Amino acid sequence: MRNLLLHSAAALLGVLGLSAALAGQTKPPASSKPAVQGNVPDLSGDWGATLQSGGGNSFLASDPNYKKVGTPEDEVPYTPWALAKLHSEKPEQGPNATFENTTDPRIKYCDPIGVPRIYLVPTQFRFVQTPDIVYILYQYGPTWRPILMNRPHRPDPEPTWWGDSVGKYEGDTLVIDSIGFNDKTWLDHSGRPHSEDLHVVERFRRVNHDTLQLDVTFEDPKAYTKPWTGGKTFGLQHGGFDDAYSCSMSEYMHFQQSVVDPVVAPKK
Amino acid sequence: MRKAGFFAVLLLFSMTSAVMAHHGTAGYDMGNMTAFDKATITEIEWTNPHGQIHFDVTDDKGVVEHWTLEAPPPSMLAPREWTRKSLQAGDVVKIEFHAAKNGSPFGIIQRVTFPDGKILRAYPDR
Repeated sequence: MRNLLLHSAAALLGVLGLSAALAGQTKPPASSKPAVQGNVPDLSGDWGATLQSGGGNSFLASDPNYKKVGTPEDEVPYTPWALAKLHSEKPEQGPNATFENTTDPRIKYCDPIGVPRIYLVPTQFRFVQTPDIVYILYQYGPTWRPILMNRPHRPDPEPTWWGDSVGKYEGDTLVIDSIGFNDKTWLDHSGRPHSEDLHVVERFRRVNHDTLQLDVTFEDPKAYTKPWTGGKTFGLQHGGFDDAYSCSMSEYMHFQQSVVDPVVAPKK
Repeated sequence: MRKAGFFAVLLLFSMTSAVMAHHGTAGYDMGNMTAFDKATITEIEWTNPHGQIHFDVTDDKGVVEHWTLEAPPPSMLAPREWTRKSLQAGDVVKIEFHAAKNGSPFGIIQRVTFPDGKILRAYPDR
């Protein structure tokens, strides 16, 4: 494992340098079709929500702004445990949204946002495809995940923030299978919970040169009575990837005190 | 708002999902847009989870009022063609935003218009 980590770190440093060198190159014409080199689809580029979409929000097209979360109209198949946990949270989006005193761990504690919720924040990500490992570099954090290609999961991995991820290509689609998560993250901004038994499958397909589609499947027998699915569409970004989103408790507290507190104060 | 004389524009907007702060926008009057034609920028904070834009406006009697607006984080502004030099202390601009419901001099920014007509959008227009 140590060798694997060293290999990953060395490769990442290399690709980061390469990525920086390539950043100023002219982009291909928008009309070009996504290339498949050998059996490897070309997922290169910086991906993110489009300006028009405003950053995206939910994985469920039927409820893009969390209006149905935890209500009888919610299509997500919660177990009683998950529904009780959902209702115990104080998210900043959804039917019971609060502007202050949230229990959202990524805001309250600057906890890692986790998989796949990281795709719901309006920041960018980039794939670096090597034969053995696909790295996903996230502007949010900033952080990165190694996706070990064409191999099984480690046996009984210890629970971690980002889990244990393996991948493979199925035609033009990158399929990422992840287990081994801790239970401290939310699946989305509404507070949908999960246990350490969470199993996430991400399927990325470049629909055309400028569009990337993510389909995601959630499986967690403790939290959901059956697997459920969602998705999100991303656009190719050209604005740069150099301004990372770093969570800082001091900046969060400053924002809380200088903006949130006066905005939620009782009307005079 | 407390000083009706400050209003340059008051437009009704329907609430949509266009404004995507990391948190809800329940504290702001998202159904109405407030604008000042001549806002003097005093400070910009490029911080997370949100930036802050501070400005002063002066009414007909010369009374100065200080305002603070929530802005997207730097990672979200950069793709929208904002840089740290886009808007600076001392600039006098038209500024449009959704004000705090409680009447305090706070809000969440929508866009900035410079005297030459250039527009910087913090969130998508609807």
